[in-house]
Amino acid sequence: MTTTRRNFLKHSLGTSALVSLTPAVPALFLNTSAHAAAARRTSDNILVVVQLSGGNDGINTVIPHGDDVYHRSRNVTRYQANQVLKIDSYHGLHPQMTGFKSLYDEGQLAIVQGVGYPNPNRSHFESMDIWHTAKPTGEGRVAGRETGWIGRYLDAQRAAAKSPKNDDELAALHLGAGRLPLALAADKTRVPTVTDLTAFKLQTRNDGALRRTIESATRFDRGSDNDLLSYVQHSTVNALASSAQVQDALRQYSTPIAYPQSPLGQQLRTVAQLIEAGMSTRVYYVSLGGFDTHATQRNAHAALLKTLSDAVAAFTKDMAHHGHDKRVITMSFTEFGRRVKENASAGTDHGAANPLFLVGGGVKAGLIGKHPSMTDLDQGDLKFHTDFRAIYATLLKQWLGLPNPEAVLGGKFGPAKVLG
Amino acid sequence: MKRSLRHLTLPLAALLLVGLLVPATRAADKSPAQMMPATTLFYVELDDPTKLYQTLLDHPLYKRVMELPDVKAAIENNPELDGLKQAVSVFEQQMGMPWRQALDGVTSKGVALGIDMANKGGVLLARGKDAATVNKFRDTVVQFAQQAAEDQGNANAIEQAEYRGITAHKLGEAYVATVGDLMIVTSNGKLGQHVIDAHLGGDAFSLADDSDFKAALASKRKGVTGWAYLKVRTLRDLGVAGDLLRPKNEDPGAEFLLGGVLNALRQAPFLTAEINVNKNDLRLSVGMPHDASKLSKSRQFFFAPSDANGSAPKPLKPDGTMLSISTYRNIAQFWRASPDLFNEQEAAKLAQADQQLSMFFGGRDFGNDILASLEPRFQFIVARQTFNTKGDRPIPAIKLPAFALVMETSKPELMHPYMQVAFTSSVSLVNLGASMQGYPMLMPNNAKRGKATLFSADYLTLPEDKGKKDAHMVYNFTPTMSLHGKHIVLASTRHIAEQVTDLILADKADETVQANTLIEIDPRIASMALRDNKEHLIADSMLKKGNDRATATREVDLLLTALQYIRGADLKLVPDDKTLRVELGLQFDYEK
Amino acid sequence: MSNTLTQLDPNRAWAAYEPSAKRPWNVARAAHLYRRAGFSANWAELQSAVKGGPQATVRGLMADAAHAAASKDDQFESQMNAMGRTMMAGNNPRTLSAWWLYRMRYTPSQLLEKTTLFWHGHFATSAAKVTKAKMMLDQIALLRRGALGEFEPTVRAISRDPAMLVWLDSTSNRKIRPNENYARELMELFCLGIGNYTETDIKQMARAFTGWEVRKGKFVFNRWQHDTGSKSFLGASGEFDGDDAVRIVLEQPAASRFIASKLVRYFVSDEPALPDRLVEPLAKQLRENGFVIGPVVERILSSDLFFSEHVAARKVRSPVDLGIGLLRALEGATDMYQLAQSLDQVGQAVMYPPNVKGWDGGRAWISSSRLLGRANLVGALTVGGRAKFAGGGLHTLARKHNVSGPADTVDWLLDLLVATPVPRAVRGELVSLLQGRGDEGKNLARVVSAIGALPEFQLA
Repeated sequence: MTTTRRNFLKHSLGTSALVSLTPAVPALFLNTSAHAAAARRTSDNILVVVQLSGGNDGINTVIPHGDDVYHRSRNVTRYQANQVLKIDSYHGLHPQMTGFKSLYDEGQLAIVQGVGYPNPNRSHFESMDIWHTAKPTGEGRVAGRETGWIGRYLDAQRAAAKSPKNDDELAALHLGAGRLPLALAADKTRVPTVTDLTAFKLQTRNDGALRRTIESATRFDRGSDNDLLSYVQHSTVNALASSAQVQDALRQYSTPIAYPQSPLGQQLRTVAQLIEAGMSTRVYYVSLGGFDTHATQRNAHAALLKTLSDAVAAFTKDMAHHGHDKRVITMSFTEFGRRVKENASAGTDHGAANPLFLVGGGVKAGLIGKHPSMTDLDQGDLKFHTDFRAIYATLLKQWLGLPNPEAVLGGKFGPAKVLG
Repeated sequence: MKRSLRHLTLPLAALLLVGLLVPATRAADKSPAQMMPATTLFYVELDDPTKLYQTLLDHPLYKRVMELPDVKAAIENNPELDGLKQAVSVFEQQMGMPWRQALDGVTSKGVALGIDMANKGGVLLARGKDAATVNKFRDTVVQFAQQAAEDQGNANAIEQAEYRGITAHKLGEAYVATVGDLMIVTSNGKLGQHVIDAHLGGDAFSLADDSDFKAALASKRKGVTGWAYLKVRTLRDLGVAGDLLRPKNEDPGAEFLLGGVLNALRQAPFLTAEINVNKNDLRLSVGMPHDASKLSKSRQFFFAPSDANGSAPKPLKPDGTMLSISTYRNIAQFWRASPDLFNEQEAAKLAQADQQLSMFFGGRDFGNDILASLEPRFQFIVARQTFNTKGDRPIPAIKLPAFALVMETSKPELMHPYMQVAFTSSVSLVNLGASMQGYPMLMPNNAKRGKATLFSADYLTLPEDKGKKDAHMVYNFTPTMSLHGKHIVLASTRHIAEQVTDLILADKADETVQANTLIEIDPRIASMALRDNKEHLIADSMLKKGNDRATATREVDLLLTALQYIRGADLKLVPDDKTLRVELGLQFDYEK
Repeated sequence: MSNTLTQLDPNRAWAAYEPSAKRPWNVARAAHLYRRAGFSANWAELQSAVKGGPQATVRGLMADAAHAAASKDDQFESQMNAMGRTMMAGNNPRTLSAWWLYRMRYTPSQLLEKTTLFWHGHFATSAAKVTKAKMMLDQIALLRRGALGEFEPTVRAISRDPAMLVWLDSTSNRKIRPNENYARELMELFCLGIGNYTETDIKQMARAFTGWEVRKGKFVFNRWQHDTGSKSFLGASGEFDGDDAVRIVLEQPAASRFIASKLVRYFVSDEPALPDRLVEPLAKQLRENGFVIGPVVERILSSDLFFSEHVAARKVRSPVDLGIGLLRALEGATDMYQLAQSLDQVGQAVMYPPNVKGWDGGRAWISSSRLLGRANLVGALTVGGRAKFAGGGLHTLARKHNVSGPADTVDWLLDLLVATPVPRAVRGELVSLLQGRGDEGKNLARVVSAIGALPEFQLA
């Protein structure tokens, strides 16, 4: 980080204003303070959330190939035992998930089985809302002002921060084209949605004179009694310094890892670049859709799992390459699993419990929890044994350093033994 | 001594005279191509520029457009054009004649342009009426440039250069020189020297000696207004336009329509283009040598395999047709070849589509069963819809045209039942979403029309939509499928399906045309269809450009009027034994 | 400075501003008025305002607003409505955002539109959930009609507005299990503020709204579901229905204070927050004059405090203020679809507030990424060529107003665009930019782009 600190100083030379930072100045979105170079602490950990939209068929993701019931219930959509990427005599991964398999073999993948919640809801909207807000139907969700679990976490961090007027400087980031996911909706903190890295740069179209004018004009000390003006001025100077720094870092970024061309692959590559550039963002959120495989599931589902597996594997390897593997965890979840028995259209219908994936150096690698019984079912669906909120609670407290996750989750859950 | 010299004077004078004349006669001999270097990549010539200027500038259509109040206003009120107008009038004064006459004078015997990659520049050769006119023109231009430079505070005289007794002036980035009635304008001094060398009798290898050029020139037809040549081989070698010539495409639609052409382009040594402009129409024809036997296997769907002469069906034209695409394509082969034609992602998408569509056809393999039983003749029709303003049936706010896809099958007994099933499934699928989304439901029905059967579906009018004149977009559609023997028609409205069916029943559907692909457009009908939606176009212009309503209305009116002047446009793809030609035609109608 | 503000005499503060040698009526003050009462004034408007004087200008703004709200024979209004109906056919609420921005840019009554925007942030309803464009259109029209009028009829209308009820999951409200959502927001966010009611008040008031439903996009009073019994809330008892509830809520003193402080924050100052005793005279005016918004706004805009040095450059411009303000000041036109998207990216998607509390405003608009975004937005419109000014480039605009010479041009731009003087050195740098080689239009664009990045430009 020393190089980036040097760069930072280079970009802010001659700014007396910056040297005399007042508490009213917002934090930079880059970790360039003196503390950043210090040892890594939980305050540095990063969570990347990969949402799978549509209800991923977990039974064909983490395949119980050693279970006869699997083969009998899914004549058309099943995979033969010899096709599956075996984990052990019972479990295996979908044949296209070579990326995940290599992560598993390297001790970087935790497969948490049987994740769900009581009274499973099989509606896309409702169940996704439950995962996002961590609140089951009817429990404290107020129309027009719902907040998500990550949003509430961000608000709690903000409230606890030392500076009274601290701003929500990119504490979390949503990458993608759609609307902000409910999980990131908060009372006070505003999470931006970004499609690419142009959002972090001052665009001057190669006009050096213009850029220099802007930089020097904004640096000039206003010395006025207008607090608001001072605040905006300091913020602008910080913004320009951060922008220059991000550009530097992005220019210097290189990786031997080949990311897949899929949108998810490219988004995770952007995340990797931002992490490497030293952004102080704690949570990144991306999604992959298309999992609602009611009919002719085979090829479509295979393609999706390959996309997921290749993208996350490339990202994880890249993090390791740049030395961030111990501080980045990727979590992949979906709003519900699918039924044990396939339907008449060579697909599967909405179900309940599902595996959840945690990837990275800090996870407790391997299979966590038993595979739900394929015979003792809840209206034809797998029964859950691990409440997703226990995982949230564990990540919030042990990974992101939030002392009191009960307030955010509205109750005591977990902890779940998912971290190494 | 003096006496001997005096004796020599006359012969010397004679020699000099010959020396002066020889270049003149030589100049008359050499064509522009004979003066350009052999490495010339791109060449354009106009044999009879005067005729072209007359056609363009005296064209009734041009006059009509120039008289439109908006165009007039735009020209008069445009401050940027003021400078240009002033410059032109000063020029005319100095030249002593109107600019058009000057242009004629300097290009009357022909104009040619060549672009040379080796010398990295371009050269323009113009042969004018006579040396005097050409020189006057050059002098005026130089004077003009001198004055302009002085205005800008640059007092230096215009640079001059000399080569073999010929003076060239440097105006900006270009050199201008005259030799007899030939004017040379070039961006690269070396090119200019090459031309002068050739002109003065040099024997260097020129463009005219290049084998590709010779072959291209041989195919030039008589009486064309302009002709161009592009040595694609060189471009390929230089790696330019790599995208276009890339083997794997990303756009299935483009591949379907143009794939064969791009494939031919990849192998063609050169391209030629001819343009013909006259009062009534404009024709542009681009051709390239084409060896059907060398066609890659994956692209055989495009042209028929055996004789590369697959013909498109003759277009059927129901009322209000504004676009018709008629083509020969073996769609089953296209589908099967998709892994070779497209990159991984697109191929995966098509595989997914294959799966999903198979479901529609009750599990039959879409690519191998359904598509394979289709003949390689397709027509796609877009026709303007008119709406009945009387009656309760809601009129949609956005008035879309009607579409129809006309196909033939080699296995009617197989296809008819499957098409019926597919149609019914589609209606059910739409209705599933309808109630959730608040759209009306489709009510299926069927009827016989002569020997054909029409399967149709109407949107059930929602009570609140009764009598509405600005209803939802769905009221544009009454999806219909017509089946008659080998003919299958899929249409967005019953009306167009009926019309096409009638044409089929009258045996109009069996003819073909002398082209692989034929696209015909009727801009006047397209203009009417746009006019149907004028409010939307105006609103869109206001929002997209921030115009006020008056300006937006004028813009839209201008577009609609402009389209009225074009009677028709067509695009043809004509492969024959040796050549593949793409022909574009526009027919004008200025009698309005 | 806040000390001076708290020491102000409330009566003096809201007394009419009279120009003096110390506080002359000039271009800067006229620009300030337009920036707060509307989005920004163009040069002609500024000249005309300076000639007319402060009170006449404010009266003119109020008259225009009244005329536009009544929307009788108004050409602009009918054009806008026609366009709105056309947009509705595509049923794409995003198009409505573009349409509303268009309206803000071209309306002859900036005050009415700015106030409507205020109420949109107050009764914040998002098109993300109200997916039918027509419903959103109707709600905004409702807010516009009542923007400067009597508050109570507006609240009664909002209580029946289909978009609002869909948004708050209140499309049905049953006798046996009253839906508390609307009652809660009515008191907490729309009229009283936290701490001025109890949970019991919410439960009781919810009964008053039972039977208020939305069927097929239209409000319906379902009398079978209406609880006709006696309810007690906010100190009143009776067989109240929803309209009674609204009346009783607005009779609370807290209501007038709540609305008055919101108006003051919107038009006067983000910070420091004005103390209660300064807001009280306005609250009193609301209470004693039928809760009509217009006169209070007029009083604010013509007041001594409004034109004082305590207030100039004390508000952070919202993204809409910034974008539309730039376009109006420089007579610019651009692709409104694109503008809507750009404003979304810096934090304000018109018709898509983040939640029912609307946009926080003030310092919440400022963050590193948003500041870069704002500067990039101005850059795209000017150097990026996305906007036309006075039908051409910025040089066309300068020529139109006979402005020439680098120093004069920079001063002219600063007058138009910036709420507080920039340091001399900064002005000098801008002048240097204009003296550079190259195309005049291009250099002007660069200067405006540089101004767009200045902290002064972010304030109003």
